[in-house]
Amino acid sequence: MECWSLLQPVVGKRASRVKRRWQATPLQGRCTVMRSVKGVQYMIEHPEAFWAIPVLVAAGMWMPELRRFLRILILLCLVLAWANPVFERLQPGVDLWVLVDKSNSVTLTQPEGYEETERLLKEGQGPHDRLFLVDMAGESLVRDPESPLVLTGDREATRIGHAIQMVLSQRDPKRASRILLLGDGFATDVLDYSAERLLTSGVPLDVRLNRPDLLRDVRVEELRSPIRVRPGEPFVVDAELTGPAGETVSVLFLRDGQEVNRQDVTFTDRGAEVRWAMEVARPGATLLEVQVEQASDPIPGNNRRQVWVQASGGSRLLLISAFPDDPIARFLRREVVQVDIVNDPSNLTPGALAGTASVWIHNVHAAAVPRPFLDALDFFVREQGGGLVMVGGKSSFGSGGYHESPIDELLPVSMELKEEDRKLSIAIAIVMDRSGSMAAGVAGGRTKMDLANAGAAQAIELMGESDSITVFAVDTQPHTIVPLSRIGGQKRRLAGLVRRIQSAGGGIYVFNGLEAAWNELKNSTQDQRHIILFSDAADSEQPEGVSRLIKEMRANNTTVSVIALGSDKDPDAPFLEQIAEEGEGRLFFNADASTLPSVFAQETVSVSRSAFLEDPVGTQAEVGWRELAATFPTWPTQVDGYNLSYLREEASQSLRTTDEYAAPLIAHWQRGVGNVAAVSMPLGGPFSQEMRAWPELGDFVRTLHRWVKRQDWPPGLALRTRREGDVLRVSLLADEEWQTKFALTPPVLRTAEAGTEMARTHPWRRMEPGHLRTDLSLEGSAAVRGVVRIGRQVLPFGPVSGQPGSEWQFPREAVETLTALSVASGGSQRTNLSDAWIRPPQTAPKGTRLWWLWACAGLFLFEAFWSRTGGKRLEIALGKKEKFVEGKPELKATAQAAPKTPPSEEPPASRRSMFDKAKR
Amino acid sequence: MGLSFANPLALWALLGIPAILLVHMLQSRNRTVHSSTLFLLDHLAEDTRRGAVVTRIRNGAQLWLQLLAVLLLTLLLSQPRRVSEHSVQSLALVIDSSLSMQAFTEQQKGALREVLDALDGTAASLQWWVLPSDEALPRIGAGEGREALEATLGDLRFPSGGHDVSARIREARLLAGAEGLVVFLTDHAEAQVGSGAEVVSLGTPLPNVGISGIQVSEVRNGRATLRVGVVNPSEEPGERMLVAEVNGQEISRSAVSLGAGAMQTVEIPLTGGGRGVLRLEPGDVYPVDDQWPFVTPQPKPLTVSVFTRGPVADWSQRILGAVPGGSLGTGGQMEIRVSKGRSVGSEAAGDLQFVSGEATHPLNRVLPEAHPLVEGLNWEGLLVEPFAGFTPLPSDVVLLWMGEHPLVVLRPRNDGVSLLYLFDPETGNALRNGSLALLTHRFMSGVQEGLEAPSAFNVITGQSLEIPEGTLGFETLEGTPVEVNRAAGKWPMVPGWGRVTREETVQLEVGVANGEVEEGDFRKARPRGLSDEVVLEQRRQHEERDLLFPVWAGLLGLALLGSWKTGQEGPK
Repeated sequence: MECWSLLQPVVGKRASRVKRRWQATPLQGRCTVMRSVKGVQYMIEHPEAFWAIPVLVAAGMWMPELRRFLRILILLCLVLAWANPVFERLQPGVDLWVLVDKSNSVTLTQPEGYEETERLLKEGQGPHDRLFLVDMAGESLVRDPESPLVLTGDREATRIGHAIQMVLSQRDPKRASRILLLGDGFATDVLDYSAERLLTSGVPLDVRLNRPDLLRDVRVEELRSPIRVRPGEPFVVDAELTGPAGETVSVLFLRDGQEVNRQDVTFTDRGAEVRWAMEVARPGATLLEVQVEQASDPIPGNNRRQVWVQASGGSRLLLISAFPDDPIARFLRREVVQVDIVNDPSNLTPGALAGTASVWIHNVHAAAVPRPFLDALDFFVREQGGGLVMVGGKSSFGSGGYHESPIDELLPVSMELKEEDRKLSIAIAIVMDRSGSMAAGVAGGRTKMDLANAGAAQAIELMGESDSITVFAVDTQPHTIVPLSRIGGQKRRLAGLVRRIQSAGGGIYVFNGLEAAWNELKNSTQDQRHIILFSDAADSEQPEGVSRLIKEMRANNTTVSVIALGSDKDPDAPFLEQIAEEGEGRLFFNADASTLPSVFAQETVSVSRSAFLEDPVGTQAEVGWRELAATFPTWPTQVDGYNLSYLREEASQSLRTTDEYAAPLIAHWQRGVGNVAAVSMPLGGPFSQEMRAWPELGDFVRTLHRWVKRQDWPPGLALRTRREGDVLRVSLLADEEWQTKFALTPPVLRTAEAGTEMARTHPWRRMEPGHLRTDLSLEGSAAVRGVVRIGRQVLPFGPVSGQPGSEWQFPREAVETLTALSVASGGSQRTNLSDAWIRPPQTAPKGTRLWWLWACAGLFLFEAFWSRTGGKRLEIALGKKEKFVEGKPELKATAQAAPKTPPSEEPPASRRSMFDKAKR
Repeated sequence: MGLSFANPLALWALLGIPAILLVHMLQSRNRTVHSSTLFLLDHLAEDTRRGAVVTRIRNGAQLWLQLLAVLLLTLLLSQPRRVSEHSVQSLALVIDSSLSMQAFTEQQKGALREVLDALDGTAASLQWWVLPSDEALPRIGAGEGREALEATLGDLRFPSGGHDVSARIREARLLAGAEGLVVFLTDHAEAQVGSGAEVVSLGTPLPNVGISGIQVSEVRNGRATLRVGVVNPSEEPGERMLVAEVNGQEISRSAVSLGAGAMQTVEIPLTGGGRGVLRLEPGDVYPVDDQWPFVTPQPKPLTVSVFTRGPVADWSQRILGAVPGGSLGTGGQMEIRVSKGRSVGSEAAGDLQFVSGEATHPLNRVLPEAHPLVEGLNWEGLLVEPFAGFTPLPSDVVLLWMGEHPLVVLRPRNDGVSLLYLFDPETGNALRNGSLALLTHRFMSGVQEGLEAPSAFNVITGQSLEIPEGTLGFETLEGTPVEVNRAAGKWPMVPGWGRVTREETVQLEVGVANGEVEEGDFRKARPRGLSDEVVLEQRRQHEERDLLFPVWAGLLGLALLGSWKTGQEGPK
């Protein structure tokens, strides 16, 4: 009320009425008034400015020049600029976003869940309030009240920061919002960036936490094993267990996921220790894991630990080939090279790269190679100095889906067919899952639907102008997004339509989607037709009739590929596998939705912008071979077929075609410290008769292997890695000769975590002459691979596992960080749930001062002009020019009007000069 | 306190001035003038001649008041801001504590002055913290005001090599607060410190020739060879004179000529022991690698007595030959006793016994435990028959197993340690197995290290301190004594010589040299200043609105009223 006394002179007699409508509030030492009408909040920052109004009224009484409309307007703008009216359009009520922790650490330890809490929250909801329940674990999903829980993704994570980001992205900025977190409070992601976003958006974070019971916890405390052994060398693995004394548990020992031993162990006061003797027969990395089985364990997630053991000895070649008896292996084995042929690459992990000098991929489609393995190849080549060779075939290069794959940038050729080189057009139908699970949030505040849309849009952008496209969004029914259309010049428009698809709930009815797509594709004029089905592997329904439908499609030269969101372990994965198999297309499983755009691009290029040319073609030698060997071979005069690709800048080629494309047949370059080669013609299987008959094929393969493989471990250097708890101790030992070289080429330690593949550099500590050491933290669950580089020399190591189950670690600091974040955002620990609905104070809204000032400036200039000229000069500027003739002024008419209007004898009164007047 | 504008684009409103002038150049609108005679109208002839559109500007109060109004409007639109009188600029300065910064010691103050000049006026006062980037080093200081900060940054010289700066950057961020400024002062512009810190670099590519390392061969007959690596990690050739001194006497002088990025090894014959130093003359801007102190290594004498004959004796001698300072004894004084038999027990510091008895068949492969003595050794080819009747003591540490039988056991004793080989060495291939020889060598070297005997060796600055009891002394290359803190467990971070004496006998002589040889590479050193955006952002945080808005608005109102009052009648 003290504020009102200041404003009394302003509001005068109407004070009581104004008071009823406006609320006076001291703000930042000033008195402001505010009012809320229909959710729009108004505020006048400087109501004292209205004092100027009576002053100006008094001035107007004394000054007749003031009594002009424009001038009053100018002064009014000035007063309003001073008062600075502010408004913020916020609708009534509060949006309460409840983050319900659905990770395993909560759902397995608190089976009762949060249903009672949710019920109480609904009871406290006001008429204008809205409640959003967000299920959260590795991903986040706003729960659809009309459909069952469809949260997919990793449950072994609690990504609170990610969930907050999703809520802030999806909230309505016109409404006041709060976030309430229900869970154990142990985040597995970083909350650093959440604080700033919460503060800037003015959304308080409240928390209501339930801590787990740790007293009867059984867990694997430590798993000790050497990190590196020789092939065939025995070693000891020790597991340290803790649990309630006297309790007996079953302990399992697994090797690469296969159980090799099981025994019962009884805990003493000091826990228990179990040992196994192991050996790894072949070079490579082996994953050892210990698990404890205890049904009554309140926290089952910390019952396992794992460790990677690398068996290294010599260097081997990993050949991922479509051919069991690959001629490449035959030739290289003659040179006493250890070659491991992988015909089924579906089980390949980044660990397979341990002890590997080079990787050859021979006619194996990218969809068949697990994404983590392809991701790991970049670090393997650029940092660890490994070699990579891709050999041609119908499932290689662009035809094999390697365009936009993780190794695309590594290859010395670009695989996307140029528009002018395309001979055939294709009609593609994209069937998009827009079921409820697609609304789940992923990184960057986007949903899976957004990423799938981006992928489909990218597919359209990669298609040629003569191709045709149709797109359906499918839930229980197909919805036509793009009817069958020729791409022509409307790529941008079509892509824009696809980007607007939104998740609509329910599951995807696959048959309905495929049938609609097929009915549309039947109308296409293209001979080649293809359907891309994008579907959630955990939520694909309606398998009935799909086989019959696909048979009909295949009979009409139409293929079907499946891009599945999820993994092959999801419940509907077999159904999708069946579709891809019967449709004679490809199947991509993507647990990580962020890769969807590149997978769509891979598939599109594979079917529409790639070419394996099946006609024999002549060859032409190039000088690039000089970089690989001292002598040139006698190249075959022709090859039976090849993958059409284009040489990249900086790459060299040793052999090219003599056709109109002059395409590279053998291209190579260096990426980082590794070497990469692309051999575009097949060396085995169909279209390889000419090459297999070439007498120098063996020499060619061996020379390529020698060039591409990682250099041998340099003498005088030793690298030791030892794991101590969650720390990996990396020691580099160098003889005196190397120590002096370090001044010019210091050793650089680089590591990359599986999943991110972003390389990091770590500084060394010098322990003694010739001994450098670094301790790396292994806090996360991701495996780490690393390398020590000294110039071109490389000493690779890893993978070294982090510990699985960061979800189950329960560090006290995690809760402290979350609580601090809550307080900083204006929230608190909520014991009383009715407080969750309190409307949060709004952030400072923007004033309108500048608008009034600009209005004031514009009006002022106009008024000055008007006062000076009476507006006549404005008429001149608009084109009504007058011509004055001495003594006989006349108005110059427009071209049409002039002949009809007789010149006036009298000049218009407003244009008469005073001189004329005086003469009269 | 300086003034700035939150909306500088509004300065375009100054175009209102020519607009007003243009308006005043237009002929004024007609007015009714009552006059009794025509000639009184003559003075009006000028601005009404022939109805001209443009006329001469006439000086008048209205014009000036309108121009004033434009100026005031522009001022209000551009939203003047001034730095709050109570604002505090928080500055956490993290100084790269790498040795390479010693090449730019003189530039440090200048770089700091540039930073402070840039920040001048961003706040009313300055609060600062100065920290070295190596978290192992203590904070340098904290305080308020520019003068105090400049005084704190005297002749700072840090000894660190490679280190992780992220911990100190985080600490600095905590000190400076979310809105403060964290500056990492370094010599490499592309230093990666993550977000939250601004990199300011004072480095430039410098020519530098330095010593990169030494290697002293084993002393035989009082003679040894000193091999010295000299490198030129710069982009221009360099010529130096390498001078070697031992016990204060110059023993060698070699000319070294190195191309850009080249390395050369110089061999210098050494006779006798003592303290020595290598110098490169003339010195350069990075003096750290121009001097290298050393001592002639002298291993502890190790006497091994072999109480057996035949292949085991030959095998023991061969291994002993690879242990520097090792010699074969004939009984009496000995540090290691090698024997073969059934009994277990010895009085020597080290006891290596082959214990055999009733053997079992070597059906199983050898399984090593995790122990430093057997780490990294390959036992795949070892074929022996383990002694089946051996029962380990609780204190025994089994190093190797064969099936359920211990094969090699380490037994700690009150007066030493025994290594028990529980198999017959002459049946099987044990004496031809490289891993067993390496294990034995490691054992002998370990026993040798634990002996109390005079020795001399070379270490690097900051290396772990493992020294015998006695009086510890250390002096730098300049002869300045430095106290070595045994509790810290490390040699000092400055080059020099250390010595341990007990009862007037030198127990240990150590040369301590700088090991961070790559710090002398300035090829990638580049300068970098504080960006204008960062400074502007800092200033914005401390600005407050111009509280004189009502004054300017009032003046504007008066100017408008005045212009209307003094001007002609406006349109109705």
